[in-house]
Amino acid sequence: MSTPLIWIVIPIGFAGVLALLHNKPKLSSILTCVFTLGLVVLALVFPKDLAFVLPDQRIEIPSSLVILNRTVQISGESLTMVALLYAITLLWNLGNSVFKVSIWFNALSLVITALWVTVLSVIPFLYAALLIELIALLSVPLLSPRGKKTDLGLLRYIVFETLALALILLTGWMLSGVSAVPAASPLLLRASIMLLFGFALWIGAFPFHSWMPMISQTSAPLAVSLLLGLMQTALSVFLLTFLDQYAWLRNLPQVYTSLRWLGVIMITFSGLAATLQQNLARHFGYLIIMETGYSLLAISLTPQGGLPYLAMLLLPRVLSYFLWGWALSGIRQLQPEASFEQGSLSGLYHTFPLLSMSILVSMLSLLGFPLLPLFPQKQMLWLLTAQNAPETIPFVIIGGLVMLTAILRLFRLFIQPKGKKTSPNPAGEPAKLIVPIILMFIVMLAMAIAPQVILPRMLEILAPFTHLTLF
Amino acid sequence: MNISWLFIPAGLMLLAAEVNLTRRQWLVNLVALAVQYLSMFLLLTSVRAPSFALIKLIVGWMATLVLYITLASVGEFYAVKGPQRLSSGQFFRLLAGLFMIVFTIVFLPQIQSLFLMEGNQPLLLAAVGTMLLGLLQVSMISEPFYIILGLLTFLSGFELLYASLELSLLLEALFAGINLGLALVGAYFLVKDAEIEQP
Repeated sequence: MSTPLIWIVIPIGFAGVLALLHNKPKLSSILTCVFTLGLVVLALVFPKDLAFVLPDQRIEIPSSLVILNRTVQISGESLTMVALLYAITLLWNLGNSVFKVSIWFNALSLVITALWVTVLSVIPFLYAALLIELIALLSVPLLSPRGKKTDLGLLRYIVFETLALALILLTGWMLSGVSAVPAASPLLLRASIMLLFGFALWIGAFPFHSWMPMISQTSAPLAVSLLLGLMQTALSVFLLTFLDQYAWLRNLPQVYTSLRWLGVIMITFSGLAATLQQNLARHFGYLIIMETGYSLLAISLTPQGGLPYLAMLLLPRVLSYFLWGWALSGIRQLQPEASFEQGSLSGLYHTFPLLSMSILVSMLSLLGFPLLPLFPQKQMLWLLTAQNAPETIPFVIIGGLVMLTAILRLFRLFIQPKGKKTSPNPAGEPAKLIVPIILMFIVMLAMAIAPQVILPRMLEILAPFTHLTLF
Repeated sequence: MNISWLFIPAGLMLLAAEVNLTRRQWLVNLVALAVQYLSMFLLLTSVRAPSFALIKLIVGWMATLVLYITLASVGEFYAVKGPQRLSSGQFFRLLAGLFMIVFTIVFLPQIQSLFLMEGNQPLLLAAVGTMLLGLLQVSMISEPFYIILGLLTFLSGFELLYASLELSLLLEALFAGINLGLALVGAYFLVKDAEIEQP
């Protein structure tokens, strides 16, 4: 028994069992939720030194597993991240039991999560590029179910991930003999450019972002929010692995400046683009781009202490994504013909008061609005940015203000009367949709009021990056 | 070792990729894809043991077979068409592809120094040329089948290049998984779109 066996091999095997049970969705959902809950709890309570002390003996669980001459290693310090990834899967699988996104949702979400854990654990870590490509391929049935024409956004997603794979692997090969190369070598510059370019393709950075709003519009909101949420969370941490492993990379001042400007451009651009959108579902793509921008901004402030805020952004951000996915899925379940085009959103509040408000709350939360869970971390990030890179602040403000304008425009649309006397949806919003929303509001409020209770645990995510936390 | 004969499979590989970029007849495209993998196998024997090189050939042909069986089974929607004259679009893609091949040949010495590969010119020519043609294909076409074909072409070029740089069993296994995964995704797109077109 080893940690990769527990959190990678067994989940993948279990997903195989779930695939066999795909025509029994209820049983499959219950099994997935219980199993992922078990993985989350185990990851949280597992001793950090991976040793169990019994009265008469000490049992140590190995942290690595050798597969085809390469190692997969999950140390005790990485278990908080593992717990977070499986917690995300648990939350979305609970959602799937209500909305029934796809009969393959349980099995695929579990395999994809196990692969993301492998991405963060494989040695040499550059092999993760191939696993990310596999994840993209496995996501296809969830993003484009049968009965829907193949979407161009999905094709672009696969193309970009394939190009990124080539760039990252080539970078890895270039860097294999880098210790013998002087710091000012053109080889290093070439490798850095290819690495950043590969990352930009992976995370959908401007101008490689177009697939995100496209798949947000055409795919099931719950599936999109899970896949993009997992991707963003894991890739943010994976970028830290690069910076931690390559001393020359983190010592290049241009790297942090490039990351900062890339992040700021993404924040500004996503805000501007969101104001121009005519379809509500597409907003999610731009929210993801904005949040990736904030992740890059936090990473770029590593020498100034920005990393803790990156770690503390992860959980509240995921909760906001879940709220968004839940609300849109709820509306689509109650109104299967809902297209989310601007014209059809008028008076949405009068039909679905709580669901429509959930959409706005999730957007405001991601924007960093006071009294919502992302506010404390974003406030600190704005402060750090203002102190260390004041030239970027006008762009961050513009991005935030235009995103706020987009949200207020949606708010105006939601509350305006439809012209004739409007009445709430006769069927109303069923309790099974409302109760989780209320619970989520309570959790988010608690997190906003007392961030010191839960969020410090998230700082453990940074423990494996010993070179970065020394800053 | 005399490697000048390797220019024959290198030329064949580029020709197959050029055919896939230009023509829109799925049977021709799949034959070209199969030829591309055969040429790749021959080139790989110069840097790998034949048993290792054979893995790529088997995986590539399996991917081709998956696409062939799917296209053959979705019926009249993807009917085989007879030989057609080149349309203006196809002519443009042909010229663009030729330009890429000439570009690769002209800049081959610089590419060689970039990848520190002084000896094996045919392998590098085939790898970089195929990657560029694959890139051209995915950037010029929006039909799922041809995008998957373009990605398989791009990956075969990249695998050829990478095979000469590093050998790892896990890497081979993952590349095999990705190639088969791409073929299965392509088959999924074909079936799904055919179901919508002819319910």
